[in-house]
Amino acid sequence: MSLRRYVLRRTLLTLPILLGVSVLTFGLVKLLPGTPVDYVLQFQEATPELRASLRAQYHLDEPVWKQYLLWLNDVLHLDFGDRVVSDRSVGAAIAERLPETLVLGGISFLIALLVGVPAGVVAAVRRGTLVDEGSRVVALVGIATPNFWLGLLLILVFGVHLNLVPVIPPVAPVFAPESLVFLVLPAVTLGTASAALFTRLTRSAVTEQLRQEYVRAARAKGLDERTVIVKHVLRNSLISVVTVAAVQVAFLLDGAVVVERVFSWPGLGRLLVRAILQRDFPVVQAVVLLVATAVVVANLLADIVYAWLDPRITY
Amino acid sequence: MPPFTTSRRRLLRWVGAASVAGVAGCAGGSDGGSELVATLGADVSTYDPTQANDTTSRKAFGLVYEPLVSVDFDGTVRPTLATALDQQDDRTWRVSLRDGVSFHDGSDFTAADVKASFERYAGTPRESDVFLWYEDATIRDDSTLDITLSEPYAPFQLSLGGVPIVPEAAATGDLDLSNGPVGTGPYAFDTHEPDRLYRLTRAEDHWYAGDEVPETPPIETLTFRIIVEQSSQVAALRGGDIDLANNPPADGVADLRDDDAITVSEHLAGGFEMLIFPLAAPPFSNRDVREGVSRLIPRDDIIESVYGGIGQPAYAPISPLLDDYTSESFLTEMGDEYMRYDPERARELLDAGFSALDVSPPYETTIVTNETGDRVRWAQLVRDELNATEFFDVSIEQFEWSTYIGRVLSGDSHRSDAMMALGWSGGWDPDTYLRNMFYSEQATPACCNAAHYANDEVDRLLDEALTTYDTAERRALYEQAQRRIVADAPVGFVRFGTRIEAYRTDAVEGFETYPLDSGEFTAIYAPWAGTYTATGGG
Repeated sequence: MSLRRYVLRRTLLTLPILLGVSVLTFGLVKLLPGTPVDYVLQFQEATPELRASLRAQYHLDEPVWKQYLLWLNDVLHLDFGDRVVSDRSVGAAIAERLPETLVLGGISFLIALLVGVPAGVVAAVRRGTLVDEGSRVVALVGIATPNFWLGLLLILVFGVHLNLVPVIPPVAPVFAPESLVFLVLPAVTLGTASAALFTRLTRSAVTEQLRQEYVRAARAKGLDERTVIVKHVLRNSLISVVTVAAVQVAFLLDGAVVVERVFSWPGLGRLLVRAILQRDFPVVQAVVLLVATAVVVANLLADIVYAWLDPRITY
Repeated sequence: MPPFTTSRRRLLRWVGAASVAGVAGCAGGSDGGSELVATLGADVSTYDPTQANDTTSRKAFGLVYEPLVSVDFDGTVRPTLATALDQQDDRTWRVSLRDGVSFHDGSDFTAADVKASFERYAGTPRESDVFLWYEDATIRDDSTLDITLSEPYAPFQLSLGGVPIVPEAAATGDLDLSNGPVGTGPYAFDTHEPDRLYRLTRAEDHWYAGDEVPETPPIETLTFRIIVEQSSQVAALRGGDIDLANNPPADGVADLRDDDAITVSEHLAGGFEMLIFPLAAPPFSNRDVREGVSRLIPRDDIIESVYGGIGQPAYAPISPLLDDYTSESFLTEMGDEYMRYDPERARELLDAGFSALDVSPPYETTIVTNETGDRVRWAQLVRDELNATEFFDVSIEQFEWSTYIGRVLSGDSHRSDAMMALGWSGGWDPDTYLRNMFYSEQATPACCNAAHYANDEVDRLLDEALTTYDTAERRALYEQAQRRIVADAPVGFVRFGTRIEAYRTDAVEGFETYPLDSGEFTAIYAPWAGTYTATGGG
């Protein structure tokens, strides 16, 4: 099968997955106790007419399957409806926060890869030395530290005691230099666990590759060590890193829920948490669907990158 | 309460304000205007008073809109957009309006705006703010109108304080408040970046022209940063990113007090923490058992170890904030008679109660609570006290807030065997502390009487008090109602709360803590209360 046909087939396969995701998203939200009407009325007394008109407004008077179809139809037209807590549209609320979350997630992901992969390679090449042991300890601590705690700790040290960076985001556009300076702490907080994971993963993959015959052959051929590692070993090791990197996209979005709160960063994570607490169902459904779609797409990209990394893989 | 009396406190505050006036002149930021950076603990969800169910939104538009009258720091009603309220009969009040007031959009303020502001509440989530008492308004001329009540309503003046006046155009649809609040207040809406900041700028043509406070607010720009995480808010204050933080966690207040750069300001609040008993479930159906449990609530310990010594023990529902309606001696008496921590007396009561019911101890039960740290910690102290007797085997169950409140208000929590830990916030009127919690028709799911407490005498007293204008008579009725409630012990009262704010001493001058959460920023500029805040240092 050609690469092009593979990509096409793999892409089509994501459609039933996304449909399943939409059913789950809609269903899980329905399982939460309380309805938007409870939020709007705050459990106050209300006339039955007011209650009924609010229920009708959110289609709560229809059977659940019909509510789903109505919602799915809107979503397919990229219409996520209006928010419960205000009269603004869900699409606008998401569009406002998407750049913030993408920038934070992107920087964290870069930090994770740029720190994690080289650290893993060095640890593997210097296997058994102090460098290797040190990276193991740092990685374990990195994986084990809750990002909530790490964030507050970084704020206390760099924001309050050393007073090097602001504790809350500057009033500036997201790509302004001062915003990027501010983002260092949140991105480190968010990226630390992923960086640690990449380190361990790269180390074990590289270690395994270094034992392969082709490495001995390459060295025997007289290639210098740098070429052996970067051109041959690393490329073959990256397959497992790519797989995990795709899953890390989900972790970064997930971790953003906490990190955005600690650093008062106005991204999707905060929108989501607040929407859940306020039973702002249209927002919850839209954000969860968006995150799920991002994960599905990341996995799709990972599969495509395999084929590029290792042309021997046939399908 | 006669309208618009002055008080000794007000005069004292006036003297205080005069002494900081000198500082206001030299305040100023780099852009030539002074700015105060405060915080909101959640995003602003609406600019429209008829939609605002959350305190955050109400705080955020509190300086933009003005009501006819405002309630000052000790509960006294002060003229704001009205200059006089004259009672015509039991159900009619004549309102004289201030002349020469205009809205931020340039339109003039008239009686038509007032009538429209009231009537646009119909059919909205906050309908009961107005239609609990409002029947009609007759406009006599541009600056006079008569308001007719559906029945005599004692808290009428206080209720007016909760109705912000908007331009008539908002009612006719010519002005959309969802684009931003438009009022007559000292500050006008500037920008709102969701989850990031909310900003107000000084309104240059505010109506105030007296000499108690500066004619325009000294602070030019008010920036509210939206910081959800309390620890981050405290860090931002200490790091100098913000000037004013509200409601720091109880265990962090001590640190803030130790910080030389920070001033901690506190004020008794209108609200109490309580343990609600499920009245329909034995052994809590027995009054002696309830009093026994209430006498095991270690209130002084709780205040000391959970709240860092802040607040005071609650022995009755009405907060001492309303000193017209409750007194130190009344609270002491109620405590001695029914509630003060007394393990020996508790043992006798529990013994009597359990024997009368034929329930064999230890009775296994739970205290349910939401995840608020302070609340969980006091519930744990109560649990330990109960488990130290041979009568109970209590455990604690925590729920996320909306799940929890859904459970408590579900309508059958009074039949489950769990005691419920909850806080209740009242306002300036005594009715707000009693009706929703203890009136029989307010039993869940109608409202919030989760114990399903029902006492005809209490219902009658509350109804009578609500239509009694005379303060002395009203006070007597509420005292009787409280006595009944405390004696019946449907809940164990725990603590009256305190509102706390912390600010950077060098950046803020003259700020005062308002007792109710929704009025948090009142002190920024409230000419009707003789109070204002300036940026410090300069």
